[in-house]
Amino acid sequence: MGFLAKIRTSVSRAVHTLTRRASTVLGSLRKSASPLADRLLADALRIAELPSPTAREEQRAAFVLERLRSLGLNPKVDEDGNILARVTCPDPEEPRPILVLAELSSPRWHPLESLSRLDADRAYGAGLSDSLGPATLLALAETLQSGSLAISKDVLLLFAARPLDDPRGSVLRRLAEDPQDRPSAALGLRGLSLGTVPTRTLGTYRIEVRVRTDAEGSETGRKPGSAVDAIVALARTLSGITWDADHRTTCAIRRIEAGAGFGHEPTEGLLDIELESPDEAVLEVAMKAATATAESKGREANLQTRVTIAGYVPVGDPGTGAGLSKLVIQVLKEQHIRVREGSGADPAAFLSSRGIPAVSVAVASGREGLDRDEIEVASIEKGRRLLTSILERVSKEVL
Amino acid sequence: MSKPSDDSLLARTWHHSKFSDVGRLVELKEKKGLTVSLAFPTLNEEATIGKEILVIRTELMDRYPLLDEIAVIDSSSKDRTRQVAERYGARVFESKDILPGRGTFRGKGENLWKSLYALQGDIIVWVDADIANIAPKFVYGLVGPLLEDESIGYVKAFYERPIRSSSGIQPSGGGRVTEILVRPIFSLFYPELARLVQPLSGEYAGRRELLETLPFSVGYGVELGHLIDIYRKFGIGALAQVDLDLRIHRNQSTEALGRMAYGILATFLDRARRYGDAEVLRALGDRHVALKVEKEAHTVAATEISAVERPPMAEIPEYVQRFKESGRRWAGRNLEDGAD
Repeated sequence: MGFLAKIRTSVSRAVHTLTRRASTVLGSLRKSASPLADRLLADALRIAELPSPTAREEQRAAFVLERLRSLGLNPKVDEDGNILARVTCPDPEEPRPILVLAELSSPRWHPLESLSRLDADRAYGAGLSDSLGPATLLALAETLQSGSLAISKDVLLLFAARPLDDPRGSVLRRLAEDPQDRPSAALGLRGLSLGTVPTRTLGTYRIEVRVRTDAEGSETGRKPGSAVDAIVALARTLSGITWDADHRTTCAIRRIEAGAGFGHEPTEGLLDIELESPDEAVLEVAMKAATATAESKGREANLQTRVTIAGYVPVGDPGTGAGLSKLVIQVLKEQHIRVREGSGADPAAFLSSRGIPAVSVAVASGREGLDRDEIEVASIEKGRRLLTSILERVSKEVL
Repeated sequence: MSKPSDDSLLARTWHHSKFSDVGRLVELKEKKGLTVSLAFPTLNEEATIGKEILVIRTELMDRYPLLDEIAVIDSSSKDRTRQVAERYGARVFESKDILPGRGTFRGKGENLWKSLYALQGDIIVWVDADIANIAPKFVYGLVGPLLEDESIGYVKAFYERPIRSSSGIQPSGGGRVTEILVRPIFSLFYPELARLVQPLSGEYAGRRELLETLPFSVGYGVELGHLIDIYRKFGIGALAQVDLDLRIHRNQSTEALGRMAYGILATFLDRARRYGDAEVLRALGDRHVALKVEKEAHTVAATEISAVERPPMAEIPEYVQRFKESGRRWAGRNLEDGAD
């Protein structure tokens, strides 16, 4: 080998070695600064793979119970499958705990075989944003148990087995009336979107309308109507109604599902509507009117119609939760997280309407999708830190 | 050799739940002064490697220190496999950079062989990097028997194997090559090994002292070669298998399975000849021949399948130098030493 060729080879090897070393250094810098955020993400990925919704979310509950017990906590499961774990403070300033809660379920249906995945910056999975709530709650339990977050009140952790807006659920009502566990304040955790604070809460009714046409043809001998046409007509009717004079009460179509695809006569349909209002009395009237309208339109169109109240969240008491919302916004600003004040239903209203300051906070950034959600991995640590800061402040301040 | 009716392997067939008390496994590991390494052999696995590392590391290194090391041994992937693996905390090696003086070959077996040099552990766990439903059981299920029973030297995984394809998750016979090729071969030549539910599964764990005595096929035959070598050197008692329930992974085309079967059969014939179990009377073909249909005519697609085999790591001077001070020797059964 000639002299020049040898130099070329040596330089090439040196560059290769330096490139590899630089890659290793950059790689280690990219690694998460928080092992706890990594554990949180891993738990979220694993929870998202457990089938949901199910009646009592047994598989997800088993996962959470194992985690809580391994942290030395003594969780209790109530008759509805809700998990409660109290992290006690040695010398609490007051007996009433701070409640931190998340839903175990992923109420949006996703296929059982849903599998999450992860690249360097984003996590993907069906219902993944829903599993961030319980995973963040587990990370909080670990933080509290390790002593790295010392606060002056007990913290009560609630993993709700049913969606909190489920009309059959009553866990928040029970807690509000429980002399032992009635919280002094409450924080609800939801997956997306970091920085959003529901400062103008609305009450909501979630109504499910199922219609069915007569596949064999009606007694008149006419060809049966299409369930797709029927469900679309019903949606148009409901969304065209004016519910109050100043248009503060609205009806949103959340889902339309009908038909079995090409070549099949669509005989069944499903319509999910959501009524929202800042006025509890108007909301109640709107719910009754929407239900009656759906039933009467169904009869007119010769449809079998079933109307079900699938969810309810009260308007709540904006005054009770205002101090807590203000505190959350302040902490968001201190942590340089863009604040987005919004309006909408917040299950925390079940508590604020009973005189307990309560608000929901989101713990990550990303995008919710029909088949899969996308979560920004770096935002998870921000959300975790946000929660611990809020909790520290809530334990010190009078709301 | 044991009689064909010997079902002893079935007595060492367990469900992973038997080892789910990971805290107890950690105690056993510490009591015995052992270290455990996990390696993922990779080639373009950016879609799955991140979650595999994160889930295993957070559970089995952070929460329970069962693993001392997680590494990726990569065959120069063209995608972001190495970056993703580093991001989630694995040590990343390019296969060609390990023992560079020994050259490099492409193949999973090559990565496994080189991982013996790169890793530090007394127990080595290998897990394929294309598992979509990764969970800690994939590791503790394999390590558990080795920590509990010192007479066991090598543990294979088995599971249901639905296939992930564009039309969703499909049930499958999972292990078509196993049922059509390997189990018939084992039934004829090594009936005790036919009791392995999935002899070709990509997840297994072994003791370093055993693994370093095995030659490694660099290609498709590495798993089958291990099983026959262990069986002949140490006896069926060195093997155990663990049920991991379900493994969801990518589908492989029939053409790819054909090439795999060729590589496996070549390894089998090599071993059968080496151990005097069969004789091959003529030179074998050196290429896998497949037929393709183009414009209504058949054409031949001949593929060279690597028959390269790496010698036992214990015979590599660099390895002996690196690990000579350990002085470890497995106390398990060794037929060659007349221990049986």
